[in-house]
Amino acid sequence: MIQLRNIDKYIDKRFQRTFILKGIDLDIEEGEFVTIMGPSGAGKSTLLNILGFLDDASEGEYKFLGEPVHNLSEKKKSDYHKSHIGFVFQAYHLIDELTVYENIEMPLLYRKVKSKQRKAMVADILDRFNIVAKKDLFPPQLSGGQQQVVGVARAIIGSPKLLLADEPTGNLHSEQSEQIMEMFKKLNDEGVTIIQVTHSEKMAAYGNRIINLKDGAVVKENPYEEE
Amino acid sequence: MLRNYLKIAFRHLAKNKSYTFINTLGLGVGLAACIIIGLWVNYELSYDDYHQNSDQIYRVLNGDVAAIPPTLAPALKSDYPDLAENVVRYWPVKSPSDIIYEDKQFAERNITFTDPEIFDVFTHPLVMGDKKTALSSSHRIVISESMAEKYFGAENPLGKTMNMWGQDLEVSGIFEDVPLNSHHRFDFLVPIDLLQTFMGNMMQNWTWSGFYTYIKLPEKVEPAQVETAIASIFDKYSEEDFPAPQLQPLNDIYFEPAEKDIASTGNFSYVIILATIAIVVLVVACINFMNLSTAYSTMRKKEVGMRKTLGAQRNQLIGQFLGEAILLSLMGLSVALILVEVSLPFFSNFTGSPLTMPYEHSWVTILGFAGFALFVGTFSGSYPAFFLSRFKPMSALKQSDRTASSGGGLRKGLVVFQFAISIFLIVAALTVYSQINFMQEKDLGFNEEKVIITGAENYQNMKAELEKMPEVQQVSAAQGVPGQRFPFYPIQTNEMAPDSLPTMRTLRVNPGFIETLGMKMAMGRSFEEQIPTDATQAFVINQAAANYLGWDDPVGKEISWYNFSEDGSSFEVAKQGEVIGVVDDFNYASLHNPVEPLIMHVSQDINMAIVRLNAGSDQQTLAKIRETWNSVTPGSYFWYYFLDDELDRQYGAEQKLGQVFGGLTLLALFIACLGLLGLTTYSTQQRTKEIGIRKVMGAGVKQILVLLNTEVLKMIGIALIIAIPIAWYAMNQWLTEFAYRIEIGFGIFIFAGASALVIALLTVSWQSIKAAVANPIDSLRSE
Repeated sequence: MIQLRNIDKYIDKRFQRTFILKGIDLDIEEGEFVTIMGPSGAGKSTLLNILGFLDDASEGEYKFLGEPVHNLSEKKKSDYHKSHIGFVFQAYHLIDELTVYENIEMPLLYRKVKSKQRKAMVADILDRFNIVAKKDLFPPQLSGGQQQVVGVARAIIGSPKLLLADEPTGNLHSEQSEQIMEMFKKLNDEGVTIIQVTHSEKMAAYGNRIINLKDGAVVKENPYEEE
Repeated sequence: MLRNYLKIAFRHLAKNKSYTFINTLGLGVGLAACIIIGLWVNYELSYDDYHQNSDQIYRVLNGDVAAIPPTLAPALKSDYPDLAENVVRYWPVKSPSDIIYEDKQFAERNITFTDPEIFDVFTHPLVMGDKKTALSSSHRIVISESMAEKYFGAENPLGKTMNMWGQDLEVSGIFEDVPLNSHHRFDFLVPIDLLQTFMGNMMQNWTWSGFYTYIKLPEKVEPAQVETAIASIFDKYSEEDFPAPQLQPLNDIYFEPAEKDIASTGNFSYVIILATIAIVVLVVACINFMNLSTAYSTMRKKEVGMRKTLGAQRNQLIGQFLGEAILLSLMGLSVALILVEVSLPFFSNFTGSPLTMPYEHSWVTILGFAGFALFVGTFSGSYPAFFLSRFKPMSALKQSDRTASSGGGLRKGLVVFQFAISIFLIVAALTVYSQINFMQEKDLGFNEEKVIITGAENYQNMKAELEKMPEVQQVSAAQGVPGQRFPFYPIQTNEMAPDSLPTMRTLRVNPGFIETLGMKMAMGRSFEEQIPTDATQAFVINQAAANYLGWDDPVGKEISWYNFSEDGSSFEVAKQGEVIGVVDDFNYASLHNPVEPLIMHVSQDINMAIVRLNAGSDQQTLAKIRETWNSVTPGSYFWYYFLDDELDRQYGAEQKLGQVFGGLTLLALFIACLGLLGLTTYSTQQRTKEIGIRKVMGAGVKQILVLLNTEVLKMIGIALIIAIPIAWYAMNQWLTEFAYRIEIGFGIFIFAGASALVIALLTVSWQSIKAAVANPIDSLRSE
């Protein structure tokens, strides 16, 4: 599903090039549950952004479903982005002015899903995540864990092939975290490819593969042990 | 403490440059507009104020008529010496007259006959000569400083001899030029005693009303006493029924002209209109200030929370924020003063009023402006100050995002208000513009183009010579031309009761007048040279006169037309004849008023030649006419004007109003847009996170733009709904002043709404496009 070849990401600043990612080679197959780990500043989030088309690599090749992303037009990118990828953030990033229902519905609006179908899809998700009772509340009225459940619901409502999660449990306590991870596990079982970034070994254990990142490069060994 | 406040204020301003820039510029422009219009209003209100004790000076009105008989002043003086010690008459010479000194000869327009008391009643200081003797004998003349310069240069004018109307006059004084803000201005003063030489018995006529009489009341004398005295004089000396006399305060004359008034007058409603708009522009600028400071205040919540936790009282905080507001308004003031300095000369030139900043009263000015800035700062800063200081310390420190949007409703309301004002002003400016345009384009009932008006000396020879020129189409003459007020004379018809003598405006013309000005006959025929009775017993009336007299078929009806008797003591029938034709109504006066009834008859009592030109260069033709003039009437001065120029000038006041109006409208719109720009900058900043999330969820640039701009569309929509009915009502009110007016079309409203919308959207889009194309990960990097 995903093929990265020799991906570099750098920032040029006053004659000095700072690498964030350097020479990343990575293959991810459909149906995998991959965890990216590594210390702060290792480039985990940047890698995730590149995978999710939110950022462009400076050098290298990125093939998504066999298509070279670095050659895709903006329009095509945006289409892929809408139809294939879902995002979950550490800080939830819900819109405070919209209700739970409206937050979940939003991606469908941008995919021009018909109103009737939208209602059905949102109702289905609400039901599936057990948050029907909360649908008219605003995000600040929810606990962190509940907000993240909404975040996940929103991410998968468009039934993406790939779910990208940037430290989805970083702001949650362990019980809530487990709940989210169980949810991920279930989604993965249903065939969704998941790539998550986390610091926690426990959370990483839910996945079936771990990629260790250090100073912008993929390393074999566990990067935490050296510290 | 103060230093700390100032430091924080300056840093806050320096940090939020666009906020500071928008506020300073908006306030600066608003204040500048206000100051300039304020100076102009002050100037308009200062008419005739420069006379000492101007509140004791009155003008005598006969009912509503300013022109009164020459006999009143002497009678008042002899019968009521204790009331009327200081009475003066003006008799302005209406047509240009030649004044000659040695080889210098000019046709002068500003000549006034007057009494020696002029210097007691009015304040016209003499630079040279003695005010007691300057006008004390008939063959004297007193001239203005600039005329002294024009005729005498470096010579001493006193005692020199100037010639006017064939009389040698001794220069007996030089007065300071009459200030521009006088309702009546003159360059030459000639004793009324000299007029006696020309007018003879007319000077003892109680029905000849051509004089303007002013009186300076002694202290503790009420105007009513003098009014009674005048009424009893009229009863005693004249057999006519005079309307009740009135004393009009000198300072009222400029804005409240009477019938047959002496000179240029102001329009008080224009003063009010422009002053109001200037204040509105300033209010719009102040609203920007309020809006932006409350919006940006959320950035300072932390500071407020901190200060409160550290023991600051609420009123200390209010003081701090008010101080900042005043600081900003002082900055705005300095921008305003620069703008005023730059634009005042243009504006003075444009309005023809010599406006200057009153810097000579430096401390008054400084205090005045500082007070103004203080007021504006307090006015616009008070709401933000109270708003900011109200924050609860703990919630302020927590910086939760939710409170950021509080006050948003009020802000939107104020923006709606600003745009409602802008839309109103656009509608108003467009209406004024179309009305002026309409008046200029309107078919006046005659053709004013390519017509030269000139003097009628030696007219028959002049006419013969002019008609030989191929460039001249037709020549005629009359006592007046459209654009002037024609005098009233009594008339009578067979249908009227014998003792009723209604007056009607009368124009004496030569045959060919109607054709030369391209007027159309509605019935009958116009005057013809070949028919001798046309000169002695024929009248042409206009349609309005036919209606007034109630005649469906006026041709052949008889009219008696009255004039002064030989000795000038009463009216008698001067011409009897029948109506030979009816001319279509033509607008000889202002389009403010409907066409009044008019009667025309042939007379040799004419003073203007009317020359219609063929197509071709007017200037070359003019040069040839001048040559002809000089050979036919040697020694007299050639004056002329183009009729269309003169008529255009009549609507000068409206035109200027329209242009100033337009300028202020643009300013208001500009300031409102500045405010909108500031607010959008702020609100898009507030919404960057939301925009980021939406983009990650798949929103495109277009969708983000729609999201951000819908709100503006809504606000403009509400503004339109508010502004349009008010504008429609107000402009219809204004248009009722005109007898000939446009109807306000729907197009004006569509245009006003569309332009406000487009301008607002452009303003907003600058920010929203920036936000929409930004990379979402930048705004979502919250960790």
